[in-house]
Amino acid sequence: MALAIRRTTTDLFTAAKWFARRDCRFLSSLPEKAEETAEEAPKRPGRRSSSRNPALEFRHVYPEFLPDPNPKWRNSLREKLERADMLKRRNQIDIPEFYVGSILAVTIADPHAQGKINRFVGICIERKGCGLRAEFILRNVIDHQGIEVRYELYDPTIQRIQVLRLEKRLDDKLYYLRDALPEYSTFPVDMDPEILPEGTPVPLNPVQVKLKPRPWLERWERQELKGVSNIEEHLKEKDRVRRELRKTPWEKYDLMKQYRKTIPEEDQNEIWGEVYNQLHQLQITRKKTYRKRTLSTPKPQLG
Amino acid sequence: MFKNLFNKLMPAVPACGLHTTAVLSEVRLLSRLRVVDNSEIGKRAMAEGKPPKIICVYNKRRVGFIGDRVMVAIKGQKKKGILVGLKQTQKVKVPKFDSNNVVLIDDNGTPLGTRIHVPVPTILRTILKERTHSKGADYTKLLGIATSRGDDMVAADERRRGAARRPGAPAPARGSGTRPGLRRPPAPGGGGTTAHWVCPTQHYILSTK
Repeated sequence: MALAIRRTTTDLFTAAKWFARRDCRFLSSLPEKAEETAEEAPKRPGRRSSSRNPALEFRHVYPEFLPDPNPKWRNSLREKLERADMLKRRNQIDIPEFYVGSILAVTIADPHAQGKINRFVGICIERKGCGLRAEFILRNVIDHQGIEVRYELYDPTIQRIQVLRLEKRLDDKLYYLRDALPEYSTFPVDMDPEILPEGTPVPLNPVQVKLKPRPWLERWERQELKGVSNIEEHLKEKDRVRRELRKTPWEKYDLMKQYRKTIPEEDQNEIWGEVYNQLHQLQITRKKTYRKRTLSTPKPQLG
Repeated sequence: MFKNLFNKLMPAVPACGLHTTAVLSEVRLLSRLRVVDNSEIGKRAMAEGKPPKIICVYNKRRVGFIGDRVMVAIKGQKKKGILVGLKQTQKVKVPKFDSNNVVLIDDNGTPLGTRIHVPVPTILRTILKERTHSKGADYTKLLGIATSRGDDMVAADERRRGAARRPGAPAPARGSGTRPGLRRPPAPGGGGTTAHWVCPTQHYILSTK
């Protein structure tokens, strides 16, 4: 019993630590801080918990507000203008909080479609880009045919982005779904949105997919994926040896590399200080409309 | 042993001296395709595990893109086809498929089959209309046989409009009359529950009630 408890707590710890390390672009460059959030997370698993500055928590919800850390591409004026444009767009339509692994429905104005409108449902397998170039990829299997569509987050033709199921997966890119069995990326087109009670943390879906036999699109065995269960079955001795040779276990100690990949906390404070008020306002209005909608939903069902 | 040590020290250097780039997945000469219509020859070729091979792409670059006409070698015959879905990375909002799909046509642009059983990108409608001239081949016939479900696709909105807006008798009759190959009629139960959730601009969802 005691062993089981210890086991679960250690599991929680590792999960939390992994969470903190998940996308290093958003973390501060200070290593102590990363550890601190990792230790705090199991105590209070709230989305808006921990950290001195509440605005810093926005780095997970709005990752596209942080610029690319590559100094060649930094331009403070452009970044500022882009942030202003993003806020303007967010005032026009509701861009919800979502993560890789969430299931979304995107409605766009499509001049090619007959109804001039087009809706696609799928799981978000990738989120990348910063500023106005932020984009995400949705994947679904329709009629036994895998389909992926890439959307830009701030595309003016997008009419609506709806989160049907808000959750995270074990990895920060789900490209392996392309090589997984099709049932792992099949979602019904007429799926109902699932409502989470307010204040709950974003659930983590610990599902582990099964890969199809080789050939694969990438060398998944070298990527230390957590969301794949049967990767060892398909490997030969040669692959295992090469995987060992290619491992870079020292990279997690490379502070300089980590620094180059991240936006430092001081810079982040400046950015979030600039946009915090407006984003917070948007969140509040969003909650209000959301509550109204949940209250009004039973009516049409009764009628 | 020395080599092993060297590899351990410098793992970032590729073992062979080759320069490698990401896979382009281009559709070009001799690439294999998947026939997605129900023409007899296409079905048999796919069932036998001998998918058609491209022997010509009719454009200047000789690399196929969505809507391009290709000549394929299928079961010892030469047939023409239209690419209706590509594996290659596409532009924003254009779907990328897990396989390279082709629909077989004859010289007039009439499809050999009566049904396409996978979704088809909506952009195909515009592309095929552009390529159709009054005296040449009419490629838009291909759009009429797309009967797949799936929301970003050509067929979906047509089918919804045909079958769903009038939930009574005339709609199914019209739908089944014009397209006998319609496999799956839309489930009205599932759409009805979502109807109040979707925004009023999405008329085709609302109409499934």
